[in-house]
Order: sequence, then structure tokens, then C-alpha cells
Amino acid sequence: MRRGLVALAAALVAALALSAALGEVALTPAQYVAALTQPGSPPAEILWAIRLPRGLAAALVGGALGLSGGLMQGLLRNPLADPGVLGVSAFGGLGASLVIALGAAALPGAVEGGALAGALLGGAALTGLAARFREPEVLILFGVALSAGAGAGTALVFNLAPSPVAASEVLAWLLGSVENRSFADIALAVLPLAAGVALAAYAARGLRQLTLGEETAALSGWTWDGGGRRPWRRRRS
Amino acid sequence: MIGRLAGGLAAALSLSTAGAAEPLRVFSLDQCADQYVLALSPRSEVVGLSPRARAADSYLRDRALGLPIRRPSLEAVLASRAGLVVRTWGGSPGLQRALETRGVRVLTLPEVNDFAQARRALRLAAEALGRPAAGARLTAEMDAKLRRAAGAGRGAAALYLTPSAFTSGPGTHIDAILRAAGFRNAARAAGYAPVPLERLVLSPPWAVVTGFFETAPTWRWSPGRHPSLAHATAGRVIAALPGRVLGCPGWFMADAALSLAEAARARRF
Repeated sequence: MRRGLVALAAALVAALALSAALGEVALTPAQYVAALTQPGSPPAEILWAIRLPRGLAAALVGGALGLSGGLMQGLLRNPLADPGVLGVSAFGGLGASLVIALGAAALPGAVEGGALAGALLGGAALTGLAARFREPEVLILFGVALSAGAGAGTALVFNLAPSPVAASEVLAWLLGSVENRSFADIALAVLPLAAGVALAAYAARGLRQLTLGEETAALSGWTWDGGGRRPWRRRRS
Repeated sequence: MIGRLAGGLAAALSLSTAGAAEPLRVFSLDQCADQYVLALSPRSEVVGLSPRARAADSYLRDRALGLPIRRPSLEAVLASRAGLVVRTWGGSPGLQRALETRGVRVLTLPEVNDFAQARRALRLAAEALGRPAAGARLTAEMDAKLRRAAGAGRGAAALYLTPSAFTSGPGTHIDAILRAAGFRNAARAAGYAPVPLERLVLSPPWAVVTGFFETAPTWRWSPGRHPSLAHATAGRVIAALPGRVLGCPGWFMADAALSLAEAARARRF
């Protein structure tokens, strides 16, 4: 396990180094040297201000998606589950699409706020509908239904977009990209990502027990409390 | 005598019929066609403008206030009882066929990539809308602005750049604007093409003309928001042209050329 983690960490560092070494422009060896020895030079700007944030953004987002996928697989006890299976991200996409199509994308934070509001709405709908049931299949089914509903809503936004420009803005946002990211963008993303990691760590023990089955989790002292703040909590003995 | 009287009566009736002819009912299918309709048609004749007529990058957006905005659909056009539909890129070929089979005249304005084409498109629109004098007046104003803009760039090379780091080469209306202001287009390849951000950082252009940068916050993934682009172009931007004079090619390209020329002269270019 530990050896595997070390190998993965080494692969991540190698991927980051490769990402910083390669880009739209082929740098000469002299330019690589300049990038490493002359801060503020154009090659240094390319390496440290354009390529490094791009690689870091990809690593952060990829890590967060991986963590979300792991959480979903643990919660739903389904190895095929992914972060989008519960429809929360689809609702986030719908919220952002609506803001863009309504012409408010230029307002600072409006698209991100729309996405967050959509995700919260989707999460609340899911909790309200599915939390009363014990079976994870119910959660998945409601999630798939919500995801399909939000996807249809987003398709409607595309159809009713006031112009091809607005439609392409929506598409660009939904696809996402780590291109043209700066350290300011990364700083903006780090806090919510850290909060997610902390919550995941908080839930980790219960989820780990759950992967062995509900009965095993119950035997270990973890029990379902009906979808409250802590759906799986340790039973007081 | 009676024959003359009858002839006179017929002529008078004919004149009176002509005078009482129903006014045009004009419907525009897209933002670029909106500009021609807003500039040339009386407000009472406009029965439909496109949903982007009031957008920030619509040249005559202020005149669109209070006029009906309608989706470019068959239902909307027929419900408005439009007699003339004006379009550039808006509406599908299927919509055009459907309108024409129902007796609605459709004017598709020709593509505009330079000022000669802008004059022709303006003339065609003015004739179709029954306002040839207004069209001629706009053409004269455009030519006057072009005369004032001419030569300001003194043949220097300038690179046009959008927030997506796209540039416009020969054969585009942006190229026509740069040349009208006396600049040489630094983009050599014809048409529109992306300029890699890394290339801009490594070899910054000598002079830059930006367009649409007021919309940069909208494009979340574009190089236009990246600090490296700001570093690479710092002190090199001659003029930041707003989308309202660039979004559609038309007679108002002369406004862009004049703004660019005035900015260049103010910087003692």
C-alpha cells in the first residue's frame, strides 16, 4: 500500500515536471536554463506563470475528482460510482449555464455562485428525496433521475441561448479547462478543496467500514441515522 | 375631355393609393441585421428585433429599447405579420424557405469584410427598407470618418487580439479597420487564428490593438484573464476597441478605425 502511494506520488511529480517542460512553444535548452536562472525572463514567465499553474490546477482538480469518486464508491458501495452519479454536479452545471445564458457571466463570481447554488439545490433535493431510504440503490436511482433532469435543463438552456456566443460560453464552462490558469485561480480553489478534503477525512472511517458491508459496519459500531447531519455515525455503546 | 378627366381621376386615385400604401413591417433575425434595421427603418415599421439587439455589443442597442424583441422563429415572424425579414447570419436556410413560401420577403445581406462591401450592404439594405437617402447619408458619414482616420498608424505593424487570444488576418473586417487607420496587420495568415499565449510572452508584438476586452471576465478559460498576457502587452496596447464596433461588420467599422486612429495620434504614434 505504502509502496503504491510512493509510486503514485512519484508519477504525479513526473507528470508535473513533464507538464512544465512541454507547451505550445518549444523552448531551446538555453531558454530552459534562462527559465531556471533568470526570474522575470520570458522563458521563466512561461515555465512558472503559465505551465506550472496549469499542471498544479490539473493535479488539484484531478485529486479532488478522485477523492469524490472514492467517497461515492464507499457511500454507494458501488465500484462504478463517480462524482457525477448523484446529480449534484449536473445541477451545478445547470446553475452556471443559466447565469451565462441570462447574460450575467461578466459579474464577478456570478457563474461560480450560480454553480454553487445549483449544486446546493441538487444536494438538497437528493437529501430530501432519498435520505429516508436505507438502500444505496435508492440514492443512486434518485441521483440518476436528478442528473437526467438537470441535463435536460441544461440542454434547454442551450436551445434557448440568445446567441451562438452565449451557447459557446456555456459549452466552454461545462467542459472546463486547466488552460490559462494563474496562481490566483489556484488560490481561489484551494480553500473549498481543503474543506472537501477535511470532510472526506471526517467521513473516512465510517465509509471504510461500509465498504465491507452494512452488517460489518453495524458490527463495528457504525449505524445509519436516517440521513441527518451524520448519515453514518458511531453508535454509542 | 372626358377621357382626360377620367385619366386624371385614375392618376389621382393611383397616387392616393400609393400614399396610403401600408407601411413596411420589418423583422430582423440576428444582431448584425438589427443594426441595419435600427439605423434605417422608422421605429413604427419595426415589428421584431433579434434577442441580442439590446446586448452590450450591439452598436445601436440604445435605439432597440422599447422595440419588440422576438426569437428568430417561423412562428414569431408569422405572428408579427412581417412583410420583410432582414438577416445576415441568423435563421436557418429552412426558415428562409418556409418564409418565402408563405410570401414573406427575405433580404439576406451580403458578407462584409471591407469598406467597399460595407457600402454595398448598406445600399442594398437602404433600398430594401425604402430609405435610400438615409443609406446614402450613413455612407457619406462613414467615408468622412475614414478620411479622418487615414494614415494615423504610419504603416506600423499592429496585432489585433481578443480575450481568447485570437487574431484576424487579411480578408477580415478587422484587417480592413487596421488598414483604414494606417496600420499594417501583423497577422499574416488569412482569416481568424489563435495566437499561443506562450508565443506572445516569448515574442511580444510591437503594437497591439485589443478588441472585446470589456467582455474578458465572461470567458473563464481565456488567456485574456491571464496575468502573463497583461505583462506581455503592457505598454504596447494602442487602443482597446469595444465589441459594439467590432461584433458585426458594417458601416460602423469606420467608428473603430477612427477610434484607433485617434488613439494612435494621442500617443504620438
